Amino acid sequence: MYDAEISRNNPGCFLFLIDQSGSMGDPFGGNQAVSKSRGVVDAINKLIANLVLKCTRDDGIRNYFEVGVIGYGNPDVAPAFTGNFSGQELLQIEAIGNNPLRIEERTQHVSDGDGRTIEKTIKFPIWFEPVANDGTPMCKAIDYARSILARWVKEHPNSYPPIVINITDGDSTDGNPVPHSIDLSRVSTNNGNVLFFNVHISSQSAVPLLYPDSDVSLSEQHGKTLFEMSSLLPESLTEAARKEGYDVKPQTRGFGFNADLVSLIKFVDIGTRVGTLR
Amino acid sequence: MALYDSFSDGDVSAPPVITLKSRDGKIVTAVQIIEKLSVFYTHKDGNDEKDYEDASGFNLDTLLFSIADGATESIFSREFANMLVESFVSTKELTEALTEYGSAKSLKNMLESAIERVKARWGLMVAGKSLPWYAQEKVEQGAHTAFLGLRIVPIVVSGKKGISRYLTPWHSRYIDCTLKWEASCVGDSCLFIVRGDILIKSFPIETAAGFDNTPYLIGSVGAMDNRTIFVDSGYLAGGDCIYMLSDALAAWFLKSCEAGQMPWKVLASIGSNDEFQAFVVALRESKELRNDDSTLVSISIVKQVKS
Repeated sequence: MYDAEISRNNPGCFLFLIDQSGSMGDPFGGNQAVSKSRGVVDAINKLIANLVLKCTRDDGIRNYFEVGVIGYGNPDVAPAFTGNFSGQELLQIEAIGNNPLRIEERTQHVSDGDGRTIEKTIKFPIWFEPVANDGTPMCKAIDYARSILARWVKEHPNSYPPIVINITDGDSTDGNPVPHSIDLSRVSTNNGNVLFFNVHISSQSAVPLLYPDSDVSLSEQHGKTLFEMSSLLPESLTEAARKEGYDVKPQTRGFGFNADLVSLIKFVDIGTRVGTLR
Repeated sequence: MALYDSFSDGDVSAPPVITLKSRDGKIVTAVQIIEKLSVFYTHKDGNDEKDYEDASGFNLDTLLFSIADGATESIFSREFANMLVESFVSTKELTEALTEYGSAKSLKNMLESAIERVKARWGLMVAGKSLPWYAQEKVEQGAHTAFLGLRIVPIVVSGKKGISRYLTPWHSRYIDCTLKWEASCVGDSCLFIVRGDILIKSFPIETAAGFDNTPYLIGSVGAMDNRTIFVDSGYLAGGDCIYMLSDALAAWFLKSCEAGQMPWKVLASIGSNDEFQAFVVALRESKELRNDDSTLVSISIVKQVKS
């Protein structure tokens, strides 16, 4: 299980669920200058760009992945792509890569190889803008993801199982999301069940907890709930997390708590390392 | 798996002397030394032939051979792998170096020179392209390839000394020499030398467990970490067979050895690229071979012609 090769005939699928509730307008990780909604869209834009780059070959972008982004809380649950892609649930990675809303130039600090840090201008494609409104209908978002993926697995029975990554800053406002998560995780391909990973982002400057194997160190109930909702990491992703220095164990789950921007990107980057692209 | 060590530079044993037919008292290298040379290749299942990203090349004048395995996840790696193979086997300094035994630059230095030349060529190639944002970013990350280079150096041990190590009396029908092999590699393309029914050299990886998904690679941009270049050398005997394999095939080869089999026998029996492709497909279907571009260069050294 969880060993299917990803190819253009058997693509992989990533579905991001993005909390766009009012509290996402609060500062991110103790940084007053950046809201959580701004931090999350920066991370999502960066992660989508990384997925495009993973699929880039000499002949262009190969359709190894289908990607969807669902926003919840603004004011309801809906696909988050805008412009030409408005209303579309899943898109082929080639279409996404070739159609950002715009490409910004940003300054990045990088090592020059001699121990010095230099400024470098990089191209930063934008597909999403920050949004922060209303409540947190997480249960409805999870059900929506299940309906999208139930259709997708019928069309791709031999593919690597879809990976759903939920990024949120707090409690569900439409009920207990755990039963909904169980239903989502029952959706499967011949290669395994849907993987549901959850990452909690914080307004506070706190030590992030990534890829834990138990909820004992979590004092807040919504942290325990998100842990319970999260899938066990399959072996290939366990290995990826271990290579990044995480102390992963057999019961390690795809869960992060109190993530800041850096750990959020790292969390999702590890969670999307799904092996060889053919 | 126990490996019988071949004669190496530091070995106190005398290297095997091989007697070759001579022409006017000289070695005409390829004709006399190589009994058979085969190059076979096939692409990954599910890809087109044009997506094949391994490369191979040889130069029979200088007895240089190489294979490279361009990394799928970087861009323009096929071009980089091909440039490196071509540059290595046609290295001008190497041709000159070989004319004077003992003054040859080390193969590691040769590879370093080839890498620098090819990085510049690759940079010029991509600079001329108009690319979208994602391809530009991949170009900045560079192309990557594994590489294995081999040269065979004949060293005459009979004949007039002091004039040239390569000359024997003009009327001599036979010539005695030792055949030194030198290999240089970055990554997981492998060299195997078989003597009779014994695998005497496995370089640079010696066990099937030695393969992973993050081999050292040569990059087309940035500084090269020369510590990732591994070298080895030894001496060949008449009838030795050398196999240069890209990683998936090399992993299968070592696994077969560890199971007590002699995988070189089936490789030696392959007579055409069609046969090689059918062999690879069968191994993939039986899950014995990872689905990857696969390349085989096999070199058979002549047997002794005079005892």
